[in-house]
Amino acid sequence: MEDIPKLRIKIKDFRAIKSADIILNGITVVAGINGSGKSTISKLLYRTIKTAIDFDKIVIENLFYELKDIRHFFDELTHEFEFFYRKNSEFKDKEEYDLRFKFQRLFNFNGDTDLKEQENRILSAIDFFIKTFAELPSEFKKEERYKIRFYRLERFFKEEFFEKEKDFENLDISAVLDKLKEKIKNKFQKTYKDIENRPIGISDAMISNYFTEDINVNNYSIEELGASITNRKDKKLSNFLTVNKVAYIDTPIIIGVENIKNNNVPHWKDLDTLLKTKGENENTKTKIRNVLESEIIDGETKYDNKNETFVYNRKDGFSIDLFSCATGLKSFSVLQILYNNGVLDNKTLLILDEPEAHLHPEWIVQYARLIVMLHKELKVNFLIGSHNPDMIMAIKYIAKKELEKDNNYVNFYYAKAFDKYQFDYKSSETDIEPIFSSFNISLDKINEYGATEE
Amino acid sequence: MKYCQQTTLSHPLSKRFPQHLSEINLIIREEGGGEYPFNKEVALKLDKVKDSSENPHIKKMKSMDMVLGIKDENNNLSSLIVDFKLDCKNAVNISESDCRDKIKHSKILLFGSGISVYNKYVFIFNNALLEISRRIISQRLTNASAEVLSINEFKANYF
Repeated sequence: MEDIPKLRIKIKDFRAIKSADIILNGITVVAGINGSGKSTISKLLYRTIKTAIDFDKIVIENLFYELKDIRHFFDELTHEFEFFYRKNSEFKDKEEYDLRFKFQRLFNFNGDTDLKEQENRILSAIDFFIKTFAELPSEFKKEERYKIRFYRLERFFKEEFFEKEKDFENLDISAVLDKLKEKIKNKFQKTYKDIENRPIGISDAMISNYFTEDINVNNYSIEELGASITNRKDKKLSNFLTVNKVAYIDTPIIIGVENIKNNNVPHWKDLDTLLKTKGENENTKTKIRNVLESEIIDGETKYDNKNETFVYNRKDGFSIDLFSCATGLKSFSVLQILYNNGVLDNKTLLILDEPEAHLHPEWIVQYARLIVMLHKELKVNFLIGSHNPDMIMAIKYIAKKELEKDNNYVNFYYAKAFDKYQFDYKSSETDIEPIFSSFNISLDKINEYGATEE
Repeated sequence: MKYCQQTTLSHPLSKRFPQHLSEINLIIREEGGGEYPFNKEVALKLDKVKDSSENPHIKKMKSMDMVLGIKDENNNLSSLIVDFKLDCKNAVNISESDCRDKIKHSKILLFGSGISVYNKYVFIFNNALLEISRRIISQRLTNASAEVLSINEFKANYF
């Protein structure tokens, strides 16, 4: 059973990938030319794991997204009620009729509150409206202004929510409220059921969105310790037991960008959130901390909560917004911040897409060294897409020296062309010869121009 | 450029040290290789020539393992120097200065023979380390026309 891989992703006929069967058991390196599908593997794995980890949150956020039209109806209704109350001296000074405040307090998504509690609040908000409507003075309802204003609401929301009902023309606001209450209950029921059953369709939708195209989700699967996580037979996305944090880092340029929450790249937002997260135990006084601080970064990078910005504090006292720093330094700052914050552990998977980009060759080797050290010290898991000879070579030889002999903690894969546009991913275990066979095409190209005599 | 037995045998150093002429297959065996694809082609064991010298300065020099004569279609003659790295277990341990010294000192040894040293210097590696060695030699010997080949590639290219 020891040989069963921690994670395994199998892909067939998916974008540029003809076939891939990648095992993640520590440090996994995937090499291939541009356009061979390295990022596709990374993205598939990332989105699936992230969806599995955040499943409940995603389902609940989706519920509140679906409730937004209903909420909009209540916002409008509040507005109309307030209009009539303000005209009536009997109600206008009473606090209980500060409807907008009361409604917003009750019908509001809060990620920290128990879902059942939130359902009860929303239903009580609707009960409050039902009661308020029942108590509306009958003389109001006779006014022409009332008829015009409420007709607009009735008409819009009957069509929005109850178009298929035969007798919707006969519904009035009171009946609309009852039906909306029922509708909300049903939506909550469905959410409870989704949380319980974890339908894989939700993950599939997330992945289609992520790739912004229609893709055949049946063409990939992920296993953990031999068990299917993307269980198509039971139509279920199971939770991962060996991974509870995942980051996909494809560029360090985004560190410190303002309003990162407003961009459309989910893994950038996720990374930003992770960089601002404090783990249970901050790592102090360790070898890795010293290597980063003294040998590479020459200082410390961190998130400054007070000023809501990432900063670089150099050892000589110089301090600067990290956003303005060299991109290579930002590459290391990501590892430093995650490490110092205690976010990294044996249940973390870091997916690095061409981490060598922006790095001087010496720093490429230092980066490879950190990857190996993080795995050695904390058992952090890595999936690395790379086409850089120094990175591949450094991981191979540093891991060989630093990790246990005859280990299976480092695995190399390379993309072999099936045809012009599709690639088969082959395992070469710890051998990097096949990878360099591809890299060395560049040497042949240079040699075409003739080498220079010493 | 292809192997030329006559050039190999008539080289002044070959005439001076005929005892160091040897079949290439035997040289490969001595260097720890496991493939012997050559027929009866011979080469001069340059390291042995160096060791035979009575000059202490030359004795201390490094050298490539063997030299052989080659010629092109126009009968232009050259000496091809070749070094075997068949016992190399870790390509990262390849020393830049060692390789550079071997090339430089071999050229000194061969200087004055009337046959120029070919401007590609061959390093022969095992298949298992061939590609990574190719990359490392290329990185470490920038500016030098080092060529990393397997035994069979060497035969295919120069014979």
